[in-house]
Amino acid sequence: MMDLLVVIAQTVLVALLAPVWAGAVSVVRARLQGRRGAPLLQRWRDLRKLAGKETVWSEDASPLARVVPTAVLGATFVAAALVPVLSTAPGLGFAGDLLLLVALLAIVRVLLSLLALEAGTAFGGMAASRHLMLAALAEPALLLSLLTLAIAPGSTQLADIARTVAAAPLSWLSPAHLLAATAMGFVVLAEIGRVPVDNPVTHLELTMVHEGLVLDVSGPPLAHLEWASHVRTLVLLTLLTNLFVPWGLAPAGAGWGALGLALLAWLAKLGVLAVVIAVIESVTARMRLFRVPEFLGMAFLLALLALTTDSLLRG
Amino acid sequence: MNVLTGWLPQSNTVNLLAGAFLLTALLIVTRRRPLEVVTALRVNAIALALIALTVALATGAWHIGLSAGLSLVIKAGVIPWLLAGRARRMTREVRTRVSIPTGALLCGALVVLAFSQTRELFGQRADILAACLPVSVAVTLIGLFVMVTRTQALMQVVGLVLLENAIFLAAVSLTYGMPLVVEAGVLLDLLAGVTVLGLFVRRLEDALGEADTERLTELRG
Amino acid sequence: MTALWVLAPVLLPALAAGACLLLRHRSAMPRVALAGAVSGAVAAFALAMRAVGGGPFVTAAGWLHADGLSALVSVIGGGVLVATLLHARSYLAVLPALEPGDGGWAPGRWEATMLGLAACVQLSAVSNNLGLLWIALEGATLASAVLVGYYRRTDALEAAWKYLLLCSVGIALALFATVLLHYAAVSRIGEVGGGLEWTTLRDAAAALDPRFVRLAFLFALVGWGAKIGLAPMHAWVPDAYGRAPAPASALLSTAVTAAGVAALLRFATVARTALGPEWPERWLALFGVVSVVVAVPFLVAQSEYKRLLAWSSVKHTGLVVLAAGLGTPLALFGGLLHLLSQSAAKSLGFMLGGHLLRASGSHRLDHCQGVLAADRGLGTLLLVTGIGLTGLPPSATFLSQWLTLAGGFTGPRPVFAAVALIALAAGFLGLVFHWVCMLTGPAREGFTDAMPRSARAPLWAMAVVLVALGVWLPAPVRALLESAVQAVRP
Repeated sequence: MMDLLVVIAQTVLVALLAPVWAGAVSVVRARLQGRRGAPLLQRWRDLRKLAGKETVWSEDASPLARVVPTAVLGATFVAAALVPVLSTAPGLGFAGDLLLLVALLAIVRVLLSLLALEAGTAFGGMAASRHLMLAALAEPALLLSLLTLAIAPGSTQLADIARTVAAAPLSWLSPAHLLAATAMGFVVLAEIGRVPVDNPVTHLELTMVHEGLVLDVSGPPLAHLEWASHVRTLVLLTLLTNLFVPWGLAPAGAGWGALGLALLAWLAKLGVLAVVIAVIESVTARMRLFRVPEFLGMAFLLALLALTTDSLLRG
Repeated sequence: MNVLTGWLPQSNTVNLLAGAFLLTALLIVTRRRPLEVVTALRVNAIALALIALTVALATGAWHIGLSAGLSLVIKAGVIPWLLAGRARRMTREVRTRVSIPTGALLCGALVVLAFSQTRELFGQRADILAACLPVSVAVTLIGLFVMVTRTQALMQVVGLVLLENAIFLAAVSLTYGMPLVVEAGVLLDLLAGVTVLGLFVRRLEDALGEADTERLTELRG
Repeated sequence: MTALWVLAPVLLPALAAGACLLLRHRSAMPRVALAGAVSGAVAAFALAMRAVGGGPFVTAAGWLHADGLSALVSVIGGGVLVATLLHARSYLAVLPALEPGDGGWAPGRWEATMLGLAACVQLSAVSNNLGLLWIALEGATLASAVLVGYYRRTDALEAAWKYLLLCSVGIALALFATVLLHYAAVSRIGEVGGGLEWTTLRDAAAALDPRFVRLAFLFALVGWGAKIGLAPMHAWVPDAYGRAPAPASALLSTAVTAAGVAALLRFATVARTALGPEWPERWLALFGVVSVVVAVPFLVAQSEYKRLLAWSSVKHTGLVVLAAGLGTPLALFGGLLHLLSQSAAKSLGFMLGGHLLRASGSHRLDHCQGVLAADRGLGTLLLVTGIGLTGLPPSATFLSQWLTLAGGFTGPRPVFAAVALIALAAGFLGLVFHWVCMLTGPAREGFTDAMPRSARAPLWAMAVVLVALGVWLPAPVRALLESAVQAVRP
């Protein structure tokens, strides 16, 4: 019962913190560029503002368009519930494993692409095709790097993986682990739609991917989509940190003290990632689109190498 | 030989560093800017020196520590510095005979090959350097691959240095290093070698305007 | 004290090299260099006499040793160095349009590099520690590359770059072989002698893990094979020998090759004991015979005389390695004699190539016709070179080739000897054709050797050695070779 409570609590936490984290990255980036930047809670304000606006749908949009934003948000929340954030308690383990997580993210992608096509504009179709191309490359790499971790516990339950890696705190140091972590890092960088792959602040038609998808959505549905996108980012980052660097995760059935420590550790890791990503965004230029497959191909290769070297070394 | 079996912390540090060694080698294959390639080579050498240092701490053998320090200075310091000086002058991206993604895939195949064959030959080792040997064989192959597929003279030198780094790692992981005099001599020779190679890269640039070996086609038969 | 005996051939040229770099007197340099070379050669001969007469010995706490094989390399290195330095003095003084300037080499650099190369070769000959052997040969490679790229021309630069890259890879693989052998030693017999002493490895070879010795031997074969220009790692040979200054080509194709062959044979000796003679010898024979065969088409269809010499160098080196793989002491004796006699023939050939280049102003064979008519002295030397390269009597190469093949036909691998015989015959035809074209016919206009007559002295000396050894093998030479055979097949 306690475990289930923890799972619910951490899901809510992720949902609430996700826009704040995005705000944190912009703050850090602004500071790096010598600006003061928007306040930390700016994204929440944006969401509230969107929620209060009127919704306009395209004349060509089918009823599907009206369902999609809510469905996307729901699927993302379920995905968030699957990830071990604070404790390695099995939580929703009965419901699914890392394959379900990847599948939920895929559903979100398909829904978004369909939504982009609904309005019948050229930008939507272009963005959808780009979005799916990136997905087709990123997904195998994501799955492979997660599966590398699944070898040791012999289970695809995310909680089991986190528990195994955390139980032998030093076994996270191996060539395979490093390769898989790098691969996952590449994928996350591509998936969160930030600078090396996509630019969240641009509305230039030739470069946008995520912005193009939601160009024809407005009002509360847009708020749903934006919130879902923030949550998805945080889910991926939490996966990266808590599976590959599982320091500070509380064991199943731990008390409030351990959970508090776990919360601190998680926040610290997210803080570090916010700085890292802000630095990457500040110092690198956006990749040309045709270089992105190469980037993700490299991620896939690293994940594949991680998997094979791990199984070869393990014997 | 296997006195170090129980040293878990060292073992994991070495494993991580071996991973970094492999990762930087793969970066050398996939990066396009000459300066980035040289930086990857520098990190590669730092990982190598740190592995040697960890082994020195674990075994208490001071001569390994000394050769670790020497390789830190020479392989991670002087040699990348020399190469970076030339790389900064290169205006073009790295040019290759096979495309970079294909090259990366081939190198991936080489890594798998190296891991499986090393296990075939040396068996499963239980000591702290278990991961180093397959990594060193893999990087040896990657170094040869870089030398064969790159057309610019400087990048061929990078491949050669990578190859030497990998052989050094093999020496450390197989026998915990060679006698100090030999290692020091090998390092100094390598330094002299890179200096001479750098000299020739410069002369190639002077003579051809750009040190691309595809332009060297006068001698045949 | 014994360490000094062994080190003298190394230190004397090395000291002279240092003096050449530091001295300010431009005119004194050739004399200092020559003094270093001559004293080094004397020391090398003294060392050879001691190692052959008094038997092999180890010194300097196991780091150095001297036996028949090191004596052979030492003698070749010492003798050729004196000849080439003498020759280089007048050769580099005349710089025609084809070889424009020395690219701003500081005075003394050339002599210092030649002497340093020779010192490295001598060190490799006497080092008992395989790591030290590697260091010495890596040093020799670097010095050679600098010599190959002496001229500021793109073709010389291309040759030097190819040489440097291929040999660096080769030598890196040889380092891997050394590491593997070290591992094989340390894991079975412990750190005795640092795990790298050749004499210790040789004596304990039977206890080593054959898997690693096998791998080490293969890496050594490819690595040192690249260094000496065995096929298929020979791509650099024609370019480097063809474009280096003539004295440098002469030194490279003799002293450095001898040192590389000796290094390979050191590994082969350990492998023979650890794996039985059959396996390593078959590989040696295979690489050797492939080199002999590969060279043939290029000997027949060739347009430049220095490249012709280079390809015949591939052939001769292949023959020496083949001799080591034929499996009889007689063949090995012939092979080591070939190492000696081809050194005389090859150094004569390349120095003569320098004269032809100076006289005709061209690398091309068809620009060097009618040499006998134009210059009787050069023509005679060219004739002797031809006899030496093709292996006709009365040259020493005739004797060594036939000893090798005779040993091969009575040994366990007569097929290899037969293939080599056919290839040698084909190469013979090609060489004879080119030589007849060069020697006969009317004198070409403007073909005059601008170099002083005294520059020919080392050439005549080499010619005399080549023919004399073919007519009569003196007892000391015989003893040297027998002791070298003893070192390779203990």
